[in-house]
Order: sequence, then C-alpha cells, then structure tokens
Amino acid sequence: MILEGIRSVLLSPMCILFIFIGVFIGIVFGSVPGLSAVMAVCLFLPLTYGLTPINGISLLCALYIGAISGGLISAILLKIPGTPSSIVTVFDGGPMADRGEAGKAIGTAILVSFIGGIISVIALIFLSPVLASFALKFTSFEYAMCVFFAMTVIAVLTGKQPILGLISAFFGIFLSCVGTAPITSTVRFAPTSSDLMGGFDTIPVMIGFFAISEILEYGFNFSKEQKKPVIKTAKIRGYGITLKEFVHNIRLIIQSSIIGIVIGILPGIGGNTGAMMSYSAAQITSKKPEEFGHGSIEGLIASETANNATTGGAMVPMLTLGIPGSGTAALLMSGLIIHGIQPGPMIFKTNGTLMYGIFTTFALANIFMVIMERLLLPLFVKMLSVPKNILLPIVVVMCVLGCYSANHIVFDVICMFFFGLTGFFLRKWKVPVAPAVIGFVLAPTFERYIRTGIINERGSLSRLFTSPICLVFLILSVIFIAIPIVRGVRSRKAQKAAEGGAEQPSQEE
Amino acid sequence: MKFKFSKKEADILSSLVLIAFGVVVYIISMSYNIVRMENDLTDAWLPKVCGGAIAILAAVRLVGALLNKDANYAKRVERSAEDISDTLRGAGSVLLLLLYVFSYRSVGFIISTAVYLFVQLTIYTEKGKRHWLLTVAISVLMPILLYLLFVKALNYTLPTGILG
Repeated sequence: MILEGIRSVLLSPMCILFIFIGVFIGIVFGSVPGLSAVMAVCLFLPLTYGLTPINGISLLCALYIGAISGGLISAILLKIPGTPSSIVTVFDGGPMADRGEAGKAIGTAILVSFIGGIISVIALIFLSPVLASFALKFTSFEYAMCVFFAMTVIAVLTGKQPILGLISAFFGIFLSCVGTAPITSTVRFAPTSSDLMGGFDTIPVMIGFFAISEILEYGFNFSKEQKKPVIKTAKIRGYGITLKEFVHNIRLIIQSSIIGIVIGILPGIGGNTGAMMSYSAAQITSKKPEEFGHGSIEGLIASETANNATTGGAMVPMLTLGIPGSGTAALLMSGLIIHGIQPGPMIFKTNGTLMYGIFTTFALANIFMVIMERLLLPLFVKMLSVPKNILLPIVVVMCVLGCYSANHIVFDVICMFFFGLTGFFLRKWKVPVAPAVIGFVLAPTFERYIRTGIINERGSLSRLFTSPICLVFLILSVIFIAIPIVRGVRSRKAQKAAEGGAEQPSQEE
Repeated sequence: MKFKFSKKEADILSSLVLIAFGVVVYIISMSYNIVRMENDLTDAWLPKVCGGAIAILAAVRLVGALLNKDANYAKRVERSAEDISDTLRGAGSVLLLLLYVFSYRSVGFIISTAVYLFVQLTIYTEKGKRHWLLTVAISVLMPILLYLLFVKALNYTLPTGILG
C-alpha cells in the first residue's frame, strides 16, 4: 500500500506537474502581502473537481506548502509578513536585510523551511495515530494555556521596554475584542456597524501595522531617508548559511521542528502560534539572546522551521480525526470529501494508497519549494535594489489589493488605512507595533478557550493547576516571561554603568 | 509651530492620550458585564483587563516622564526647513492614501490606482530627480497589469468603478 501510494505520485507526470504548478502559485500567493494560503486553496478548489483524487489533492497540498513558505520573502525584504505565519520572521529577517544580508536571510529561511517541512512529513507518516491521540488529551484549558504560552513571545520582544510593549500588546488584545464575542455572541464596541460585527480581519491589522505605518513614516522622515547610505546586498553561495552555522544550529532546527509539529496537530492553533512559541524557546535557549529582534539568524531559523513544520502537523487531526485545525485544513478536507474520501480514524484502511500518495506529495512539494525558491532568490534580492520612492507606492497598491481580495469588501481596505495611521502614531511614541499584532492574533483563541474551560469546569480554575499539560505550559510561561525581563533589566543596568564609567573621566577633566 | 515637542512633552502627551483611551475602553466594557451563561466570565472581562492595563501602564509612564529631570529629555529643538517639508510630505501621503482608499470602489481599481501611484511617486521623489516618463509609465502600466493578472488570470473581482 505504501509503495503503491508513492508510485501514484512519482510515476504520474501529470501529478508531478500539478505539484510543481501548485508550489509556484503558492509561493506567489504567500509572497504578496494579503494573499494567503487559504485564498490560494480556495481559488483552486473548484478546479480540482474534474481531476483525479490524487491530482486534485496534490495540487491543493502543493499550494498550501508554497504559500506558507512564500510568506518569508516579503517578511524579510519588505518587513511585511506575507502570511500570519511569517509575523515572527520579520523581527530578525528584516534587520538582516537592512544590514545587507537579505540573500543570506532568505536562503537560510528557505533551507530551514524545507527541513521543517520534511521533518513534519516524516512525523506525519510515522506518528499520525500517536500524535492524534495526544491532541485529544487537550481540553479547553490546555488550549488556553498553550496560546498563553505562545503569547510569551511578547516578553521576548519587550524585554527592554516592558511598559511600552505591554501597552502595545493590550491594545492589540483590545482590537481583537471588537465585534461578536465568543460564547454569547454579544456585539462589543460595534453597536451600529454591521461591518464591524465580525470583528477586524487579521490581514488589514497585520498589513496596516507592519506595512502602511512604515510607509507613512518614510514620508515624515523623507530627508533622513535620503541621507541613508544605499545598502549593498552581499552575493551568496548556496543557501547563504555556512556549514559551520548550519551545524551549530542543528539542535535549534530540531527543537523548532518538534514545536511546529506539536502545535500544528492542535486544531485551531495554527502556524503563527507555532512560530511564536518556537521563537520564545529559541531566545531562552540561545547563547546570544540579546541579538533576537536585531537580525539574529537563530530567531529567523526558529520562526521559519516551526511555521513550515506545522504544515504536516496540521494534516494529522484533519486526516485521522476529521477535525480541520485551520481554514486551509478545512478547505483541504472539503477537497477530500468532494472526491468521496471521508477523513477519520478509518482513512488508512479505506484509502491507504491515497494517504501515502498525499504524504509523498508533501515531501515532493517541499523539494520543489526549496529548489524553486533558491532559483528565484537572485530575483527576490533584486527587489531591494529598486529605489524606495518607487518600491513603496507599489507596495501600498499590493497591500490594498491583498486586503480587498481577502473578503472583497472596501471596509477592510479602510481598516488597513486606519491601522496604518494608528501604527504610525504608536511608532512615533516609541511603542513597538509587533506586540499589538501578536496580541490581536492570539487573543481570540485564548478568550474562547479560557471561557469555555471555565464553563465546562463549572467556574473552577483548579484544572489549570492539576492538569499536567496546563502545569507544564504555566511553568514554562512564567520562566519565559521572567527571563527576558530579567535580562532586559540587567542589560539596562550594565548599559547605565558603562555610560557612567565613560562619563567619569570627562567629569574629572 | 517653531519648536518640536521635547521628548518629555511627547511622552506626557502620548501617556495622557493612552490613559484616556484605556479609561474609555474600561467604561464601555462595563456595559457588557452581564452574566448570560452560568459560570461564564462575561463579555466584559477581557476588554476590561485591556482598558485597565493600558490606563495603568500609561499612568506609570506619565509619572516616569514627570519625574525625569534630565535636561536633554526636556529640551525643545527648533523645527528646520527640512522638518517642515517632511511634515508636509508625510501629511500629503496620509491624505492621498485616505482619498485612494475611499475612492477605491466608486472610481474603480485602475483609475484610482493610477492616480494614487502618479501623485505618490511624485511626492516621494525629490524635485530635481523626478523622471516624468518613468512615473507615468509605472502609474499607467502597473494597474493595468495587476488588473489583468487578478481579474483575467486569477478570476478575482476588482472594483471597476466609472469604467464599469
């Protein structure tokens, strides 16, 4: 059955062609801010009706893998996450591009995306039943604590300025409260607006805060921007990362892959949570934690490995339990159902050949992705040589297009503008915008699960302290919040001491 | 204004705005404090936490700013000619983007994008360095190419506006 499944993909030129096309289109969708994996799969789902099951599903899976990986391109080059999964990639990929290492950053991200993807495929093949039963142990409280743990990435980002970072995070969480509340469906902060009833969409918030605010800032700092030296991007060999750096980071790649797979299998959590959790973990275990957020290759590796590792993990509950863990997984599941395949515990018995065909597709799509993105790498880097005065207006047009295309409503585009303006003022007041986006993305899941958990436990919070999974997340969260803050305070003290030491001789003079 | 705000003034002003915002969020949240389901936390708890936390954190920042006696922190800097031109350029871009966003549906993708690109490229290029042919080429070709790609190739719907 296994060999038959592998053969059904590898011996079919049409299937290989569909995977190739899917990966390419996925990369394009992922790299354009606003266009997401969900949109790519949604757009091509009707096209698969007339195809054989394996060809149709292969096309959709390839689109998914290409789009998740493509998000790294705009995240590094433009500091705009192409997909929510790439939000964390911006923190270190952007600064690396600023210092002329765009090629190295993209090359490394492509390579680790591939490794994360392949490790997740291996997990998908050999551990599906075990992983699925692990996911079933999670009740609402476990999910809530898992998301809370992912939120600790805010502490990593705000170590030196905890007050401003927390203000930003709470502002983002507040934005997520606008619209229909979970559980009761009460409309909050939008009593008269039908557009706001569903709350703000992630794409306008993400693009507004990251892209539009920076583009507006360019206009207000125009003279300073003109005086900045032109950054020359260093030529790269291979994937940019040296063998020594790669070997040095193997432990981190494995650690991030495991986090990505484990988070991927939890329905409703997603690639962004995996990347954020992996980033926090990498900072805590790093020997150079102070470099995180300033162009750390470890931060980049942690984010990109984990978000691609979630792709295989996300398939586990969908295939083995029939629970789609994300929007994309739900579309892939409908793709299977359309072709008469019912996901669930019996799927390996009823459609074993197709299952192993899907696993082969995942592996092949990852291989196509790593080759295709490497070939396109010089073209991506070339984008940085376009003068900013030309590039930025074009980016605005792409952002507007991406925002509009998500739901086909102008309201999203208007929201994007207002979030851009808000982000601009926050930046002007030295309030970092990244915690706001993270708070916005994660808070709805946290609120839903914590409230459901409390209702299920009849008002008791005791499970938070008695469930081993909750306890592990709780203890880890405390550690992960405390360490960056302590490090931040220490480095500030050391900085002050150094400044004091430097001033003393001049005072004596 | 002849002078820019000092860092201290900017911090005080931004803290006051944030305190006001936090208080307003908290007060509005109180209206959601209705128990609709047994043992539920109510719809008010998370926005109340956010409003309260923003107000408290901004107040801490305000006190910090008021107590900071550093002369450099309170020093005002005179606005240069460059600063004024940058402010105009920035404000012009904000206004232009606002017009673009609001005319997107009524005027249509192609025309609103072409006008936006032309004006924005002009604003973001220094006077002596403007290349009109390139500006016009980008402004005209970019929206048409994107329209063809999204509407014809990818089957998306974009606002046609007055051309429709």
